[in-house]
Amino acid sequence: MAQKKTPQRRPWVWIVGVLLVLGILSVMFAGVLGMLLGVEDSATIRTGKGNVALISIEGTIVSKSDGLFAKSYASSTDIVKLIEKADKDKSIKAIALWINSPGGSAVASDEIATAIKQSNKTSVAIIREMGTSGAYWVASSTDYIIAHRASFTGSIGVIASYIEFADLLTEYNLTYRRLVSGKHKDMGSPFKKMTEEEQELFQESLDDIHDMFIEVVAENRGLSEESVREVATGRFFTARKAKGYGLIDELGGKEEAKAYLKKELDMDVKFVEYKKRKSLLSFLGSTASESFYAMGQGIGDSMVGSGVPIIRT
Amino acid sequence: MVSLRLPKQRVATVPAPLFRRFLAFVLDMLVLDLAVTGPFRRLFLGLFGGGSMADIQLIVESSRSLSLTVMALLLLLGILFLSYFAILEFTLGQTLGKRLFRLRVENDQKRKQPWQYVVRSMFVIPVFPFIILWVVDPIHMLFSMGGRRWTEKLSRTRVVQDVAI
Repeated sequence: MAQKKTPQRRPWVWIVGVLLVLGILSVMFAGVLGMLLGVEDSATIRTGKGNVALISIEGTIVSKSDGLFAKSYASSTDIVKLIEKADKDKSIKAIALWINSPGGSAVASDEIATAIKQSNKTSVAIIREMGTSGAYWVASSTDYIIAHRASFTGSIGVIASYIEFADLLTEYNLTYRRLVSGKHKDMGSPFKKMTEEEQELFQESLDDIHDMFIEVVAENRGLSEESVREVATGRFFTARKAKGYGLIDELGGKEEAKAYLKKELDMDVKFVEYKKRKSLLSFLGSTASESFYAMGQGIGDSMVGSGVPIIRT
Repeated sequence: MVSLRLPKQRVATVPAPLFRRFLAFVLDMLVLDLAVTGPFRRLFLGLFGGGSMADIQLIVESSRSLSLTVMALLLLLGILFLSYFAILEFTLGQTLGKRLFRLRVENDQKRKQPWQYVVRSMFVIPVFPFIILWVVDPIHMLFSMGGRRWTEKLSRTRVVQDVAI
């Protein structure tokens, strides 16, 4: 009688199969864990050893930016958390804000400025290319401001401009059907003409925030309100000019900041970057955002050349 | 057609040499590094940036939640590694490294049990208390007959090599 043959296992199929399954599982676990860890409240990582927390404020300052494509915004929610974390960290002796921002939301800027003022650590702002408007609001709340000599700062003013489409709607025979309760409810709607009264009311609000901005800068910089008001026309200055007006303390960069902190703290200083931990999803999102932006930039460049006016030396 | 009735080659099963075992293990770990560790590497990078081991230690020590997270990640990684060794040694008696170096795992018992292959591979889990095996296993290996690890003795398995005699 023929003996039943035991089925031979195919070893290479097993080996490859097991490795494949484990590989897929590790990708899944790493992905899920990455997402979970990324949404934790304590979402801060510090890279390396050091005693001065370097917190980056890059891009437009907004209150919260946790969308997938949020790389180019500086979220005050995140930055305040980083400042608070650095403030609690006993190994951190000072906080340095690395600023490259045109400003943004007044509320978000004030949140960051308040967090820095409330911290118990020496603080310094290092303005790289730009530290204007809301970014200057933030910088002014630090103990010392250093700006690259060719950077721009200032722009102490408020803007709420928008494009009004009322005439365009009329031209295309479209109607804005106004249904409001409260006569100023749709004040600022781009689909209707702004009345003089509404413009005055808007201007009043903007002037109020402008006054706040001036008061904050005057208090932070130890200047009189009058002297700040003179330069608070909304114009930006080169760092050299700003130094003359008392808006910044020194021209320079990280090395000058180190020298200042070394003198203040009476110890050697080393920067350690504090940044928000990225979840896998936001990492993928910002990678996609960068890729799409680069694609668009490439297409734009090839069509119009370097059409955007920039100041060159 | 004439068939040559050659005598069957006589094969003896002997304990596998330590050096061959070590090379097989290194190969297995390289394969696991490629297939399994890669996604976790990104995760660790996201957690710690590009700091040195000393920097990482400082970061982990500064935050209890982070140290627990790291432990959990290492445990998960260890379980995946253990799965590789346990499943392949249970089903085939060999991992990729062992196969290439012509080694296999033999069972002292009549019927092989899954727990045996889990126990013998516990040392790959890089968290306490399993890391104690990183010391216990090699010492036992050096001083025991046949170069057996302590967990191999515990699991009643051994790594052998078939040699022609």
